[in-house]
Amino acid sequence: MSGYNSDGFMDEDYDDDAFEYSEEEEEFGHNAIIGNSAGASQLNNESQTETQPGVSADGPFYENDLLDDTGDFEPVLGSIKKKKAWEVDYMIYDPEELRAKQVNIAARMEPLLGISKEATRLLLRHYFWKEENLIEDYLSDSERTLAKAGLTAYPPPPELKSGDENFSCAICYTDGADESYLALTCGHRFCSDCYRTYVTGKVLEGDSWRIHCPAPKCKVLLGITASRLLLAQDNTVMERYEENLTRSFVNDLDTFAWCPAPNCEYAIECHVPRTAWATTIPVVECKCGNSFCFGCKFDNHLPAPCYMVSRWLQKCKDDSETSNWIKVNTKECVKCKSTIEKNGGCNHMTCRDCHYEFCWICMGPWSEHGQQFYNCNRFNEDSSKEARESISKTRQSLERYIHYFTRYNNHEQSAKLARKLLATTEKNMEQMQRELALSWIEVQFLRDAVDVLSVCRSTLKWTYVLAYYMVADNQKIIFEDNQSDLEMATEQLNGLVEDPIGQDTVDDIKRKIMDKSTYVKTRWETLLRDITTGLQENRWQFETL
Amino acid sequence: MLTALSTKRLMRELNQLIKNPPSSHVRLLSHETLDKWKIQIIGADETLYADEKYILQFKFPNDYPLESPEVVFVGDCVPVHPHIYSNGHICLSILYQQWSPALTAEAVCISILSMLSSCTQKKPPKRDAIYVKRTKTASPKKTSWRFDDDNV
Repeated sequence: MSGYNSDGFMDEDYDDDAFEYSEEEEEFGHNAIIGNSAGASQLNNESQTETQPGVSADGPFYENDLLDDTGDFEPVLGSIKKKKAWEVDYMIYDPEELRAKQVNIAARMEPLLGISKEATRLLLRHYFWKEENLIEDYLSDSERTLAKAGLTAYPPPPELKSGDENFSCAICYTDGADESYLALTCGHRFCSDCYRTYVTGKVLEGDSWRIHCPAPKCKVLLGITASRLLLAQDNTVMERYEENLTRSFVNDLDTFAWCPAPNCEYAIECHVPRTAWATTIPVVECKCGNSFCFGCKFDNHLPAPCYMVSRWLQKCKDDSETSNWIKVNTKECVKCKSTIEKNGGCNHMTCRDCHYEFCWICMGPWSEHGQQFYNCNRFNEDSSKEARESISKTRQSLERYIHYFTRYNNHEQSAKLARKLLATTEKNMEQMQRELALSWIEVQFLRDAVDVLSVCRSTLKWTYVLAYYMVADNQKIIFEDNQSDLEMATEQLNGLVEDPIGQDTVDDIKRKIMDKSTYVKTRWETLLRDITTGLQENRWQFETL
Repeated sequence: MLTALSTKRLMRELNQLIKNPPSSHVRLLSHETLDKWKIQIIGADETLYADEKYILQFKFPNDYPLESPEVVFVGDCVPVHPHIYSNGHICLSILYQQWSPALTAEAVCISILSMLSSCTQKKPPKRDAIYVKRTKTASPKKTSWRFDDDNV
């Protein structure tokens, strides 16, 4: 078995430096069991079944844990932080590890099926790697299963032959004994040049194992060995072929997905079933740093579940900018419902149509405002309330949407600004280093604070989506309290970070920011934990989506 | 430009067709260029299309035979058939997804003949007018075909 830990460090290398080694583990985090290294290609079935987490001398990583389909694989590294409530188990694979994984599964199935390696590999792919279905079908009718997939149990190793005078290629019509040709179990013979061109064309179209004999209506699969034999001379096409094989492996399995980040070539394995996505958000973080939802492949949308996110995004797209603009910039006259845009002046409005006088802020009648012309503090007065309640229902729902959308949008924008903030922060850090003769490590607290900020912004953003669909009840009030706690703390931290060098001494600032960061982080964890358990307990009612 | 493979292959197919036509029902009419042929097919005896003469136009792509030829009925009359649109487009799987490089122009002709022969009722495809209006003279290879009738 592979003796690599997830960071790619070999045990032996770190034997005499155990402390640093364990620190490494702490660093990269708890549940991200990053795929084992290529060593797994030399698979050893016996040792797999015997190893148990934490007891074997084989190393910290066990293949059978990986292959266990149950999904709740045990964390396999010694000093692992406890998994947070909202975190899910997943593994990251690089292309090499993906290749090894395919080899492993095939090698495990081979003795079970008792057919050749080649046939096993193709049969597995034909069954989209659903081992149970394959075994079931195979045991009930092996011949039919193979035939349906276009396979034979023991295909003779493919080889290019020549020396048959009667040979004539049905594609290019070249004939004669000199011509080298290939024939699969179906007996259709084609010259090697034509075969090569045919396979190359298919590979460049993205095909791999599904390539079959070129004869009309012949379904016999060419197979991986034969493809490699034909493409041996052309490295680029060969690489593409291998790539297609891996691609189809990841695409065919529900439990695997590519990291959607541009140019990222890692794949993620995650066993949170589709049915659980309504209450569990399978957020994973790729080695490339991209954090995304395994379920919908969208950006990390903790703590809103996938179905809500897609609904919300659809809604944001549907509600045209025009209606948004009307909502944001206009109000309806309480009396005659005509739409009014306020383009200047004070809060004392007189409707041009019905001459009703009202306050722009509270929508209550102006007569009750007395002399406070520019300042309305009557929002909760009964008459104002009545006036607002009379606003038409559709408008109210739109207003509700805008309420949440503005906040959602605000956090999205702020998250974008956070990137800018990072640049300013770095400048600030340099400045602090220079002016106050601090060491680099001493000013890192600023960067940490910005990191915390952007994580919280993202979470806050999606809590508004959750809140939008949440039916108002006492539980929602608790939820909103938690939300506003985090929001307030986040804004405060934001303020501190944006202008760190003020009147206070550096030590004060540093202490303040660090205190606030820790506080924000705690609030963030509390909120997420609460939402996760709440979703699982069905604590909230959601509008039927 | 035709590749060496397609040139060689088309030359052979052409010679074959001229020297040994598969039956009296298939006759090469013209081949202005190597990649554009016209073939006449005559409906088989004792079928709905007996003695009816139609012209098929073959256009061979540069990477023929890896890619299928574009085959349409041309001329004044196009057979009335549930799988043949009045602009000459033919709904036949081997011309599109099911194409195999081991198929030939001759094999395509025979397939089309047999498609005509097995027809029991001369009627145009459903929604022929809409399809024809939409595709006009575009290549049938741009249509995405669905093949659901194995009988005719």
